[in-house]
Amino acid sequence: MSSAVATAPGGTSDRPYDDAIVKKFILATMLWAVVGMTVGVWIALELAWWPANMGIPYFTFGRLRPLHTNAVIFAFGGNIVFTSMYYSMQRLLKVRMWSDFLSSFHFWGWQGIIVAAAVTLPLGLTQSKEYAELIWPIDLAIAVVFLAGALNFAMTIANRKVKHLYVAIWFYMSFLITIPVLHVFNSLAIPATLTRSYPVYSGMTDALVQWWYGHNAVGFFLTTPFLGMMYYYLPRASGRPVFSYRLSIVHFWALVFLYIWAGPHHLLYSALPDWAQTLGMVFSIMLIAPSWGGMLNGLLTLRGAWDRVRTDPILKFMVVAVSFYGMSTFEGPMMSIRAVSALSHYTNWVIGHVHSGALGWVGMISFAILYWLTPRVWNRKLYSESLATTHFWLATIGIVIYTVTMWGAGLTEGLMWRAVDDGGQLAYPVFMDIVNRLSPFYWLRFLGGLMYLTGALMMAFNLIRTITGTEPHAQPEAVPAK
Amino acid sequence: MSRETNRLLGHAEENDGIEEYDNALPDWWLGLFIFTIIWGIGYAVEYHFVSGRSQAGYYEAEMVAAAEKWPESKPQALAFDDATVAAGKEIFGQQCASCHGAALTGGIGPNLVDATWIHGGEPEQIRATITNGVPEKGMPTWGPILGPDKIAKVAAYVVTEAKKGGSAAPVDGQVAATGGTEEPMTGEAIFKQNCVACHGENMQGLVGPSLVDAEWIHGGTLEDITHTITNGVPEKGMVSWGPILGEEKIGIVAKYVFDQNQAATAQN
Repeated sequence: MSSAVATAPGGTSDRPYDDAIVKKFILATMLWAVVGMTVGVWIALELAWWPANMGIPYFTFGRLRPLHTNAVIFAFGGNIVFTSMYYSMQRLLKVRMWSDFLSSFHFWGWQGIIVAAAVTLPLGLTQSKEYAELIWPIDLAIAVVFLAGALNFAMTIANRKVKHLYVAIWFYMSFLITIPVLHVFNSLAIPATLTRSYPVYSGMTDALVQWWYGHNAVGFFLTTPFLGMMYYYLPRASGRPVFSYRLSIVHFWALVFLYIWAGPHHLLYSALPDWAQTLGMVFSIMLIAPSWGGMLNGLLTLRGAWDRVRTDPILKFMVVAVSFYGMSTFEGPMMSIRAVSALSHYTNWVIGHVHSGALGWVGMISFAILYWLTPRVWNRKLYSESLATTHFWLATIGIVIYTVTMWGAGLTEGLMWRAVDDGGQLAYPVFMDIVNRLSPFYWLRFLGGLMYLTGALMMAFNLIRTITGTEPHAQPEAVPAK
Repeated sequence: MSRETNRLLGHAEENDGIEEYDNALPDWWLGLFIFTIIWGIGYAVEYHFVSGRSQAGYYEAEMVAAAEKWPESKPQALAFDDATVAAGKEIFGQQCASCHGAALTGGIGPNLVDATWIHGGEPEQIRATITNGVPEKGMPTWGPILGPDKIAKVAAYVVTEAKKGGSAAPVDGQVAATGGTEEPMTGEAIFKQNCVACHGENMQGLVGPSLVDAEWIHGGTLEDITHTITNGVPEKGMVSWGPILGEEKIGIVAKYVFDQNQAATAQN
């Protein structure tokens, strides 16, 4: 960026902030967002109309579904988290990243892992643990690459030029510490061949460890780093002070303490002992307020900026993101109640819940950050604000269609499975009858997902035109209220 | 929210320009948090130590309630009155005819009106075979699907027809419905109603062979196909559709199969 002397990144003159790594992660984020969401829409179509698998085994639902989840969580989600961290941590710590080599190793290592996943999963190479499907050599690579990145962040924190650690850093640290612990302990396995291994846990223990991991992948991969991102980018984009410092600290500690225990709610009405099921349920209920603390601090920070929410697509994305965060963190604890779980478990309701969090919270806050960050690191004016607003509406309407449709599908199948006739016999003994009943819901869900994907494609186009444009980013930085 | 001070903490210098207010925790938020903690502890204590609930306990209670509501009566003796047999005939048409034939003369499944009984011909043996199925040969376990009441009816019908020894009039229902007034007259509709169970929804083959590959076991001309459908291949389980569908419909569905095959093989 030799032309942009006037906007040279901060830092000391001999060690300016490293924004080249931020740019790389932004480009990777956009690429994997499009790939991951396209696969998602594709498999949504397969559920409505199976010939979409083209009769090719690599494209069947069972193989593409883990590819979709891994691509959107670890490829799109992971890359936007790293994007946001590399940009904000250098500025919050007032120091360049500790090691450029580790930054680069982290970037290329992470992309290599994603490519390996995209090859092995369609080939049917899997450990069959949800969100932890990847085979053991890739698991090993994840541990090495993630820890290399974490070391770089940790050393950057150690070398910081400020005394006070902003709350976003606390959230980032919980992510950096917890994810390796979860990943390593859930993936412990004895290799048999290069592509096959046997888990060290068996039976119920294996299931419990898996859902301790699985639930906290949601908690510490898709929640805490994203809250950290909200705490940096929402005040920056709105120019407003954070509503309550105390709330941010209290809800942080409450969240990380409570989240880690809630995993057993995935195993209600299973062979898991009753006391452990109770534990998972009550810790989930106790999570409502700590989760809502984040939503409150986000929404109340926007006080005084609501007039701008009407015109600024970035703030629109943020408001909807934070609102969906509040909605899905209320829905989750409700679904962890034994009686509700008995109806909702194994149905499409669960899929709807995950997507209101993933599309609504994670996706929307990520889009906001991409729209805010790209013009700044490339010093180019956003190509089209109205296109970004169109993206916002497409995405929002798409999520609503998706979520409502999956509620309908989930309730339909949940009630049909348990229905008995006057004689005490199953009212719908033929499973296919129930599957067929879901067809219209599947078509509508495909439509909602397609709208969301279309929006993401618009964003990719918009940001690429921004990067390749010529007009510098001239928007004055918002000044915090005094 | 009266305790809001909106006093800035002065962290902006260290927070990349982000200021923070020194506001207190909102009362209702703190109240909600404390309430969920108290509720959580209360629920756990109540569940395990006061009421002594457990999922095994719920299961047993539900089973007891079900046993009370739907007492497991000793299997009723089979009744052979006209109403029962007629009801059995209807069930047979919906569930059984696709394999055992509309006239009970067999198809994929064995003939039920000849002199041979593979799994016993006594009424109770027939009822047991229906209830438990013969999964290894493809006969489903109908017990949990139909329930004892419907099984008693359909067994009564089978026993009645078996005694008559093969003079059964084709049943109403799935198969016979093709002779009704709302008869489908497109090849696709006839195929869907009669053939998909064995040849697959897309003719890809299931129990019966694929109809969309290049291979024809019994000849692939339109005449051959018409002939095979009409006379069936009873030794392999293909029903003789002649008396069931009639010449006209067989002509239509044979043409449909022939065209679909041409289209599919042309693609490859």
